[in-house]
Amino acid sequence: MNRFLIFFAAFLMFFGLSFQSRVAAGVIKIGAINPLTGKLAKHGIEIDEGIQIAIDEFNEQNGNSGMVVELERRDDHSAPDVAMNQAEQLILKEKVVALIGGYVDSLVGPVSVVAKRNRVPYVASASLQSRLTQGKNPYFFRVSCMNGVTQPVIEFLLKWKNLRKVAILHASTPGASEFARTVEKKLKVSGVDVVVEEKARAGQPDFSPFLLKCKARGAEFIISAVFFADHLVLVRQMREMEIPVKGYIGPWGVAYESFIKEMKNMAEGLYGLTAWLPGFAYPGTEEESRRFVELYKKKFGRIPTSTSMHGYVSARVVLEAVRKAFEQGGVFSGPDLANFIRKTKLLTPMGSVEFDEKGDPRWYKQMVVQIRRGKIVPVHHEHSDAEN
Amino acid sequence: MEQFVQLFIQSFSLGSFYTLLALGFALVFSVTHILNLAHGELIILAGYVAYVLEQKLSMGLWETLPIAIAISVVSLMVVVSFVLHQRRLSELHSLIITFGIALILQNCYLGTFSANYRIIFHKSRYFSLLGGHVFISSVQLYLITLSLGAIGGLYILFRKTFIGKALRATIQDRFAAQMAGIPIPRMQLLGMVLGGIAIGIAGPLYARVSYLHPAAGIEPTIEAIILTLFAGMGRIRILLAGGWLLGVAETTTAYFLGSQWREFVSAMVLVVILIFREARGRENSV
Repeated sequence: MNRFLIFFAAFLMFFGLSFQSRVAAGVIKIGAINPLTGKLAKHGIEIDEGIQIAIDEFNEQNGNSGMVVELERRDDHSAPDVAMNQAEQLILKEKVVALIGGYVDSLVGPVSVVAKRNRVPYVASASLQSRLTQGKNPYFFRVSCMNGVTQPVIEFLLKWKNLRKVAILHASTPGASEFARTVEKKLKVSGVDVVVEEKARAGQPDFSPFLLKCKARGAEFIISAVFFADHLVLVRQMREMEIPVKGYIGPWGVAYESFIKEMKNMAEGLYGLTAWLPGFAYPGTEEESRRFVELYKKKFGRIPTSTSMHGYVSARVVLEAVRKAFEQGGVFSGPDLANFIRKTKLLTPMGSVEFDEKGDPRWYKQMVVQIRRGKIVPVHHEHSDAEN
Repeated sequence: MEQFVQLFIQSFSLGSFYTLLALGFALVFSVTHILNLAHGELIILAGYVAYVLEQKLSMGLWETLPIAIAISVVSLMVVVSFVLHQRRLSELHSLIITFGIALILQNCYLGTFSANYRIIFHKSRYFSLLGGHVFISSVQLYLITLSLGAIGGLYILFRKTFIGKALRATIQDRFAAQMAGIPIPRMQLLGMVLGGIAIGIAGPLYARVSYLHPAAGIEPTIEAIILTLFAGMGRIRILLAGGWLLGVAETTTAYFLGSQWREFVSAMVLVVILIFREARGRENSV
């Protein structure tokens, strides 16, 4: 028994000291959990890469001050239970001071619960569902929110002349369902009739019944809150079946170069949403945006997407808090870091980042873009009302 | 009226698509008793092969098919032979081993093709019906004719040729077949070749109808398992009927009740049929 106690004390001392010395030497660990494999891997990898750029940039700028950030990257396999386990492991074993990353609410939600339980701040890169920030979790923040997506879609649709009938298709995820409900409610109040409203499982091979209904009920516009892969199948069928709609908008999954590459001329005229484009940054951040694109291209050999920028911005929020904590004596306790994050005022290529009392971003708003001649062109955004 | 005719065409092309996805799995399971959970990954491999050939060499469907078939036959033989050579082999063992192989293949695809979603872009030709109000695309025609052709070809093989009859005997009772002098390993080899051909046909079509992704293999595997359970071992024609039934159930449900009900209703249809079949089987055995 005594021997066990001695061993246990030695174990605690070793890990306690090693953690202290790591922080004392200025090595701060941050954990990133993203879907790097599985169905959501495409976007998870994009977020992960954006985070890596932010960490590289931070270490390069702050290396001389003796502060080095180490990124612990984990794959949640696009599964919520794995995401939870990875969060526990990063916090308890790797002793990370904060968590970042995450794509879709079903993966972000469980991590936010673990973060709260262990009093470690978590800044999610891509999450929308309102419920996630209504649970009074002082350790949960995110750089995106539902309003920032629904608002531009509604504004854009209401500016269409004589738009009377729309159809809404949405994925069965919590965020997509909430998006559909909010848009439907607001459009109905504004006198636009939602003639078809349906939920679809991701990965469905056939959308023809939905499209036939759109045709039969005279839908003029399709709002499709499904994911990238479903847009590929749905748009292809829509074009093939010659469904006579004026427009098609996908709040996520359409405004991607890789989407245009796969769909070729079938992508022409489609509308999408994005928070940032390589050539279209928030005013005053053009230089930072250009540098991000350059670093990204150099490291990964391709142009970053808006999703990568979400990863970059979420990492920058945490890094800014870490820098402040380091400057104020190097105490990296969860509550202190969460406080620093709450007071964040950051100008990023995606816009200004500040958090409200719930942890939602105050100023997040996406812009509506259209695919024209194989290029993504902004058509409705805050900075200029270039309506078309 | 036109709407319903169009719905009917969509149903049958979707059902044919499901049949093609399930055919390779059903053949391998019937002959070797291996539950190949890497089946979907092999379809995705054939799809990726067709995708690369289409992107790099601008090959069309008919040109890519022989290459996709050859690669599918070889890869299926490697997977199934590996499983068959395990010392302790039961259906459960095959399930675990092929699940592991599926995970390995998924990671190989991720490394080779990245996590990007890919489709084979094609310009379909359209054939108008009912005065131009209804159409059938070339891909839908391929799906229907290829599934009918594959099922018809297998039917003739099983009923009219000696080797096909030997294969059928192996499927029905491999111990009795062995006692009758039928070389089981050769029949298994034949089953693998036929299964590989079916996978090689399904893959390039999968990339035209759905999308390719390293983790996309799970969907065709599930469809294949459902249809094989529904049809039973070696009942190839029932497989086509099951595919069509599933296609009709899913499409009409999605049209009349909404897309959210399609899986529920098709699952219910299959459960009811399985219960009915079980009851009939019990009656016959009494």
